[in-house]
Amino acid sequence: MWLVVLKGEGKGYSWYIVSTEKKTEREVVEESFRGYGYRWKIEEYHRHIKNQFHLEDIQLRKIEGLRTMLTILNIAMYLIYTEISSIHNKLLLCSPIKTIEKYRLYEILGFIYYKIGLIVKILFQRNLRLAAVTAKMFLPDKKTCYINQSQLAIAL
Amino acid sequence: MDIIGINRTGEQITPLYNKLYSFEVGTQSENSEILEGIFTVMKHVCKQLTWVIDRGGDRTKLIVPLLRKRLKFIIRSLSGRKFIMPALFLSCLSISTPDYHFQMNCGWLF
Repeated sequence: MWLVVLKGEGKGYSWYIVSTEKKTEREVVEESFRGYGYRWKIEEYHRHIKNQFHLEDIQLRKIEGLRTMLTILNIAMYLIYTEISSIHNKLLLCSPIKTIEKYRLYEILGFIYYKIGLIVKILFQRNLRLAAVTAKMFLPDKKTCYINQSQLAIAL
Repeated sequence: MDIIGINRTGEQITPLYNKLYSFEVGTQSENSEILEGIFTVMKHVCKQLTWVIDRGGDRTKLIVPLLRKRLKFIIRSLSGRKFIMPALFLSCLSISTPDYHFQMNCGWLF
């Protein structure tokens, strides 16, 4: 077990207790900082849930209700972060719901889950016209696809 | 309590475990809830992962079971945490000076 100490310029200390298979000091330090750095992305995940889905405004009072609500929310977040994010380029660029403002690369490569969440949220707000237009994006193009390819195209 | 997975390149975030618990409805110990979450996830994911836990996870009751299971982890420590070495009893702050750098190589006992 290692104790890794970080001292930023003009800042205080941070300490990390590390258990790793890495052997050298350098490897352990790199592993620690990379691993802990990723944790900040997870903070962003929590902020995403709280801000976009207003988790703290939920007024359920019984723990069973809260558990059910959180389970549904987590399944939704799982779908957004794993399944839907795999088609995020098309969703962000082609959706009639505009989430890309400056058409810069970082808008597609950064933390895009807020944008995906926003699109999903709007689609579920009974906006049937937008929902229909967005769903059409993922249907096969009749001009270019062959008959047998239709099912594969829908299975996106 | 949330357990979130992130891949080695930091690109893929995957929510893995979520449990709402309360001491008013049966929960006895926060440590046991955390360990239950960790061991539940361990049954379903690869063994090569590293657990990253924020401040508050640097408790003996959490670290010892993780060490026994030979899990890899990174836990941010509180500044007031004390470390015990043979014949020494030192705080995090006191061992952060360059004088103690050599001793860090020897490994610390918790």
